[in-house]
Amino acid sequence: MSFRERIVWTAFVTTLLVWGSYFAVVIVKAANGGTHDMLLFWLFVAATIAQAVMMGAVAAIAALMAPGEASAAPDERDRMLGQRASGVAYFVVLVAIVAVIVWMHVGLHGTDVIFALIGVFMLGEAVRFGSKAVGYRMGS
Amino acid sequence: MAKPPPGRVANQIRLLRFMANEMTQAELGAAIGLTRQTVAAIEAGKYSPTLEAAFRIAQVFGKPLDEVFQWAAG
Repeated sequence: MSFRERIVWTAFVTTLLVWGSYFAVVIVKAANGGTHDMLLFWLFVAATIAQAVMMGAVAAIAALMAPGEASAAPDERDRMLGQRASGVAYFVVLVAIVAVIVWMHVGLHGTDVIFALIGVFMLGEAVRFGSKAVGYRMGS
Repeated sequence: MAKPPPGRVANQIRLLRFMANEMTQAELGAAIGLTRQTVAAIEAGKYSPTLEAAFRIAQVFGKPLDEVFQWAAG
């Protein structure tokens, strides 16, 4: 597995793990009295730091294993996979935003709307990383 | 718009590498600014390179483009 593929798989898995856990807490909070809670702010900070630390650790280890690949600029296939993944993620984000807008008119309100939009952003990131990782695995 | 006829880009990169003192995929990639993985994907027909990369590959082997890449109809 190449350096770039390893990094993108790590980004995909850590996004699912970290933000999946975060939004599990958000959903529980929303179902039990609301999301207007400082705990969620600190959890957000902790999740951001946790993902950054995990990504940094894996990137450092992967760079030590393949220093030449780590310092090389992305080539045309890397860029193509990135653009294609962004296109897929954009479509998913668009659909999810429309879903949040509809949801706002049938019951979603207050801070829950903000959390839903953060969720849409994280979903888009997960789809982007996942699409790119699958692209690397398939060879194109 | 009419559907384009089926086909794919075939190539002779593996053979040409062998004939060029068994050049490795990494060496070919380094010569043209592509990663080894991208050269492997091109060679396996999983990724079609840009025209510029195709010309660069042909230049490395000293061959015209159509001796390196061919259109395989069907």
